[in-house]
Amino acid sequence: MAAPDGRAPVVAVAGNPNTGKSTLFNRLTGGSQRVGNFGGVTVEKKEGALRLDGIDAVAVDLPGTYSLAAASPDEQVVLDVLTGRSEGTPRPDAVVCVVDATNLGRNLFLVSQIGETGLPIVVALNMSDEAERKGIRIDAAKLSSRVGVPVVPTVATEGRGLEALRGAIASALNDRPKFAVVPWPESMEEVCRSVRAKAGGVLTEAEVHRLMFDIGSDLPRRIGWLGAEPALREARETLKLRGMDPVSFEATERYRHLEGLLEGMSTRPVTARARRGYAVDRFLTHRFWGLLVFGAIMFVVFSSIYWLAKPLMEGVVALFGLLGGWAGAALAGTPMLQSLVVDGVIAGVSGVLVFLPQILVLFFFIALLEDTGYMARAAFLMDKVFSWCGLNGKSFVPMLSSFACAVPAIIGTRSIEDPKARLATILISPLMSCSARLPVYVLMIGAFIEPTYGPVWAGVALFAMHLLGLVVAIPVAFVINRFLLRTRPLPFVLEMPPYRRPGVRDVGLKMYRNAMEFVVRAGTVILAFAILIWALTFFPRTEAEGVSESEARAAQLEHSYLGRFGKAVQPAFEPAGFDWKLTVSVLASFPAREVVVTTLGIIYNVGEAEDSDSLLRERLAAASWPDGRKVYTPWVALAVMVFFALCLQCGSTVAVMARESGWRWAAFAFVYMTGLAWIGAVAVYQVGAGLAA
Amino acid sequence: MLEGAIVAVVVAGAAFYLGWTFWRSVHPKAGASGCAGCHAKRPVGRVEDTP
Repeated sequence: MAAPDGRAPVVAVAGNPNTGKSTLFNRLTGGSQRVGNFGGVTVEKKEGALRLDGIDAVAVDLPGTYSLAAASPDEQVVLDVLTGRSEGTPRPDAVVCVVDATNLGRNLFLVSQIGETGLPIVVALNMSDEAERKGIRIDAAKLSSRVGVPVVPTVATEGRGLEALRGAIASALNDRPKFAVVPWPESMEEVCRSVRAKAGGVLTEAEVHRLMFDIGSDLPRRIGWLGAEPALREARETLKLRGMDPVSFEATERYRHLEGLLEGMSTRPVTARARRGYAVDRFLTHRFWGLLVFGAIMFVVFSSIYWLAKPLMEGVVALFGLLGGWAGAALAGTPMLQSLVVDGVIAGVSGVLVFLPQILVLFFFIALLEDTGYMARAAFLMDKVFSWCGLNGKSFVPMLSSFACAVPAIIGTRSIEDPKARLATILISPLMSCSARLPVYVLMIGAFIEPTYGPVWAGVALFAMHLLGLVVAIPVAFVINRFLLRTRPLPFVLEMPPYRRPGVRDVGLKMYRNAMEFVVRAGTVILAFAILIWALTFFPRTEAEGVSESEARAAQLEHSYLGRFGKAVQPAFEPAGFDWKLTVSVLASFPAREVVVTTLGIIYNVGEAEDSDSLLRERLAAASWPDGRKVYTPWVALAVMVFFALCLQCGSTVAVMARESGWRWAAFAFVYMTGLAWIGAVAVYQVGAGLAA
Repeated sequence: MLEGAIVAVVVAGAAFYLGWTFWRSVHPKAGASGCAGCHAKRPVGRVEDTP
């Protein structure tokens, strides 16, 4: 059979992500594939020759999507191809819908939407072996007669069922079977007909349905329908008045229709384990209990970071103390080189590496929560918390990974279809406390909170600092979404993974990967910064005579480039209670925030090199203003932590933001976060000073 | 003299490394295709591309 215009028939292969769609496409087309882009967009298009019974057809692999909502470029492409609006791709003559046999109900959602385009459909019931293993039995013949199109069980990975599928496609090209579509109420169809008439008849019935349900669709602009906005707004209002809210009506009706079609079609054994899983889910995703459990888990995680890592940290400190002593003795004849190695390299790098045990503990818990399946429940829970400020659970997933590092989190926002929602998430992700902030918190809390208030309050403070970013992110997201981007609400679909026992190997690998990243960073970028900062404290030299060595070193530090710079900038940070040494450390940490610990380590080492075995935090606690007042009070420590919690001090994050959203938005994020950090630090210090007075 | 030279080389190396790292982060495909890397079209929104 050939298409009406004489060309070879085109068969589109569509389906949800992770259904084995691409594997099936590869099996059907063999090695005869061409890869390009769909017309006008940068979405990959794969085409291949499809040999059917006596018919030479062309198969087109469509991007995997959950629906035709046309929110992302992928969904837009699928809708365009199926309605014949994709430049360079003819409208298909049939569609093979690949569905996951273990999750039939959700997969048929897309199939029923495709059915409304009027194209002939063949359903490939893929992963049927996995369904069998799970005890799910689907009567394909019965299902086929119920939905009105051929249903062929397949196992794409093993090539099973492919011959039957080829036969079904060949028959479908002739018989043109239609899927049993949703019988929309006449009161809705009436509104759709009026919309179609207003558009001048250029829209198909399926496209009008999509326009009614998908608020913000790009289609009217692309077909040049100028009066679309008022017409669609009026139509949607009418639907709402008739009790069919466009936001939820499609999902409700479609699933109800599919439930009817699937009744008695498949048997899914409800095991005792599954029942237990549902019960646990109900508790963990509960509005009140779920949040309580979430808070408790987070508290346990953050307080454990302290006491679990402490013995290991002491070991690292002792190790670097030995190394410093040995290097100092070995280089005694070359004082400049000795200072570079001991005060610069060893003091700078060890100041950061000492936090490696805590990074390991943090990632141990993150891996544990991810692998047990709890993180998905947390994302679902956060959807409820976030929805009012324009974010949803989809934003929360990248935000969660931002607690480790903002860079993969920003790249991870690509899964958010709506460009505005994606941008909003990119702009607030760096507010989450990444692992690089941990050394700063631990240093300040360990020096000024733990000695006075004990380890429990130290844990509370650490948890509070991690919570701060999240608490600030919510109003910031509200302002960005409401006044700057005017983001529209998005539906949130999340697949809950089953609860699993975490594998030792997987957890170990995640800890190793993140620890290695930290160590490599300490050995490269941080090391280079340590050397530069040392040079800035060492030059130019001054000769102070008739003073003690300690006073001479202090005079050298003040005379150095870094000292001069710090003193010049310090007035800007005085309202936050920062002295010039702290100001210099804060400014030096703009390219990478961990550098603050390195800088403080070098500055305080330079001042008191004789005490090379004492900890940095003891030196900080002893630091004083010229009039004898202590520089670091608990309020100054809190102001420093607030500054670091809110400031965008990460060159890599700014670069990735610029790549993903453009330099304008990266600059905006840098400015708003730096401003917020300064205001936060000043507010904390001034309130503290007021209370103390 | 030698000591000063060693320190100068180490400090200059550190400065160069940081500058190079920054430049590479801004120009992801630097070296392979120069500034074309920045201007190449990048597919966005792919579910499959999501890490």
